[in-house]
Amino acid sequence: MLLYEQRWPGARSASGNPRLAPVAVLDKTLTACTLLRLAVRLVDAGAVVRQLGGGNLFPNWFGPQTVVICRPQTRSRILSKQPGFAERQIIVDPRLENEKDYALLLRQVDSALQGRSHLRIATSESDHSILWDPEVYTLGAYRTGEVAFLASASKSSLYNFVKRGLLQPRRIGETVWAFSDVVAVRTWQYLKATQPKERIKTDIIPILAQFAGDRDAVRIGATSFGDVLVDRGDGWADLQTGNLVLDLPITEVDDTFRPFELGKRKAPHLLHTSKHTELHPAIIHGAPHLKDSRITARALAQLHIRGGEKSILSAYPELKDMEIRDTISIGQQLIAA
Amino acid sequence: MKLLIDTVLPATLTADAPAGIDFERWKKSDGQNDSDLLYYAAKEGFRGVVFLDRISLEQPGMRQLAKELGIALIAIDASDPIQARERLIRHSARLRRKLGESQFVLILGSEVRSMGE
Repeated sequence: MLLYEQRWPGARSASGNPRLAPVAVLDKTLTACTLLRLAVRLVDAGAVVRQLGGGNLFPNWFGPQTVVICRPQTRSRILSKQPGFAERQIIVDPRLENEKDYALLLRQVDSALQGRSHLRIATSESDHSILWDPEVYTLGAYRTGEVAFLASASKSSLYNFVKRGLLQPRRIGETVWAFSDVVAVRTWQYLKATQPKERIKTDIIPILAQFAGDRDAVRIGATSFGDVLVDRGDGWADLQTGNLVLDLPITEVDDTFRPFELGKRKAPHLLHTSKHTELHPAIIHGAPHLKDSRITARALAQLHIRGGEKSILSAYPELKDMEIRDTISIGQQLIAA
Repeated sequence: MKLLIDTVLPATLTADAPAGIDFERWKKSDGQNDSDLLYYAAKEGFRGVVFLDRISLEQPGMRQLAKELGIALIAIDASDPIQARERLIRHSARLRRKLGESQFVLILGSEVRSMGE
């Protein structure tokens, strides 16, 4: 059945749970090399790729679940001949200059797909769009010191933001912060570090902290003027008003995940905290942890304090011969923060 | 009573389980997300899932999911995973009793406490 669907995607039942997503690519838009690279990525992600020819007749496989990547003329042709076709499923002249562009386009195709049919998109270091999913962005539980370390801010700054009503962490015996708080403060700090002559408005902090996530977002951006913007594949729009934005110096929030320095503070990469340490809001309440495991950097550092490497291997014999020193170092910084 | 213990707790716990309790340690191949442990525990008939550190239970949506799945969440407050292991073993009898009256439980140095919802 799977092979049949691959060969004849038009035969899929509209009411069923399609496992494959048909995607039409018009090759006249793109160079042969770009087309091939895009097609390979789409197929790897579980899509079916077809070429849409010219003329007024549409092939049988062209249907309401198709996503089209094409030129403006083709867009006009589709909308005139197939008036019921959803406009948001037509992606016109995407920019495909680097790996990030391909990743963004895949995310855009995925968000345009209807129903339960979705692509398998691997999260790479250059594609963090999965973080904007409401089921991810709103997760995380951090103590104040951890936020200070991850956002490269002082604890007093964090408390000051709370006092001014910019942040509203939960208070459950102790103060518990969310991943969105970390992103909000870190973005503000990053803008200060990269635009030292500008006065960075704190307006972005509550907007990013209270942002509920957006599954269709392929990029989130911020400006020193206090704007937070979203790109759902059709350009930047103000997150709060929805108004399209042109000619603003926008910093992608993705970029703030990279390491940076602000004064004496050094912010590690947020998601790839060190070579063998990573962070994801859905894993161990968002704590930095040893890559591909659920062992936190903090736990490794605690055991190191107790009895060095011997204590670590006693607790986790599976880590024998594994490189964990950088993760221990991250844990030590978290404990000290 | 079967309890699923998070990977961050020491591997030796499975061999040191007190009478009447079976511990199974989470394996990374089964998934990494916090919710993966809860779904697995519910599917395999575990009474609950044991995490290190009370903040683990503050992950948004965890308690709601545990309620829906009908499993308990247990957190251990300790200075390190080895101390957590000792506390879990030492308080296992109290833990069993506490799980009879509460779905969310915190193990401390000298007591086992219900956690609010």
